[in-house]
Amino acid sequence: MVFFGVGLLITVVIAAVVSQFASTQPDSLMYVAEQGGFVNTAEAHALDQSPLAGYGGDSESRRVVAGVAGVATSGSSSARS
Amino acid sequence: MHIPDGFIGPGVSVAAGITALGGFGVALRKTHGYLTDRLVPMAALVAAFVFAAQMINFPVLPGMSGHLLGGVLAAVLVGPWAGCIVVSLVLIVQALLFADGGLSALGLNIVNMALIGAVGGYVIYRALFRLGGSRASRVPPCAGLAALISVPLAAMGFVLEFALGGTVESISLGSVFWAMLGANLLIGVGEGLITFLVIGAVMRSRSDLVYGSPTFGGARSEELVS
Repeated sequence: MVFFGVGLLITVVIAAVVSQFASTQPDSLMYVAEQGGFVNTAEAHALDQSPLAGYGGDSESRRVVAGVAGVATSGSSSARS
Repeated sequence: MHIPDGFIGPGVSVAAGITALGGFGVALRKTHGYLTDRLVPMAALVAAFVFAAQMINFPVLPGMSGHLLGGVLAAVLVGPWAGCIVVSLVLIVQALLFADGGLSALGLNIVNMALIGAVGGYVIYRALFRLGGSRASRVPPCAGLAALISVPLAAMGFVLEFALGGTVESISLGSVFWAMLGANLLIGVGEGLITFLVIGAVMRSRSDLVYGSPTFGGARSEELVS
């Protein structure tokens, strides 16, 4: 029980706190797509209008959504365990 | 590494979707006997951890970031097939709720990160682990090294899909290959380091919960590599 409690706590801290400091630069695939000139073939995601899209866009809401989503996921996993 | 809609044409996307479904079916069957009370809470915790960790993009090069894929991490902790299910579920939630990874590309992403990343990564882990005597102290470094290799390997999955079904024909495949290989080797160093540290911490506290360790206390499914 101690193990799962500590594991869950670490996960929540990563989701809610560390995620605020995540880099917003493109990942390797999007970077290579930009350099290779095929990034514009990406189509809009069907759910792009959802408030959750991209973990809440690029603004302040991104941090909030990322944090809440991470905590909710962690919380649901604790309910199952 | 999440492929958006539009990069890969419908034919290859559908083929990948069928492959992903098939792989998921095999994973469900393989985990049927051994996903017991010991492993279910661990699988849930690993799913939450991988989901959270995938949100943390770390800088790799100027203008480029990377994040944990978590395939080898999940596979060493809960087994290759449960690990495949864990990573697939994370990808499904990301695509369906957070618009991260295209809906039509879901099969492609599951093939690259769950089938290649977790199951393929575990095959590499087993091979490395048995190479030098299967001692428990070798679990974290072997997991870290397998994790490092698994990231460029998953990237090669994308390159293959792009070669077969890329929607732009004027692009040099060679340049995409080398760029993906180089970038993901660097990201793999981060993946390997995180995997090494996390597996090391779990081995020190509860090595009986680590599926890929000789100290594991539960039943295992059929081994991938005997």
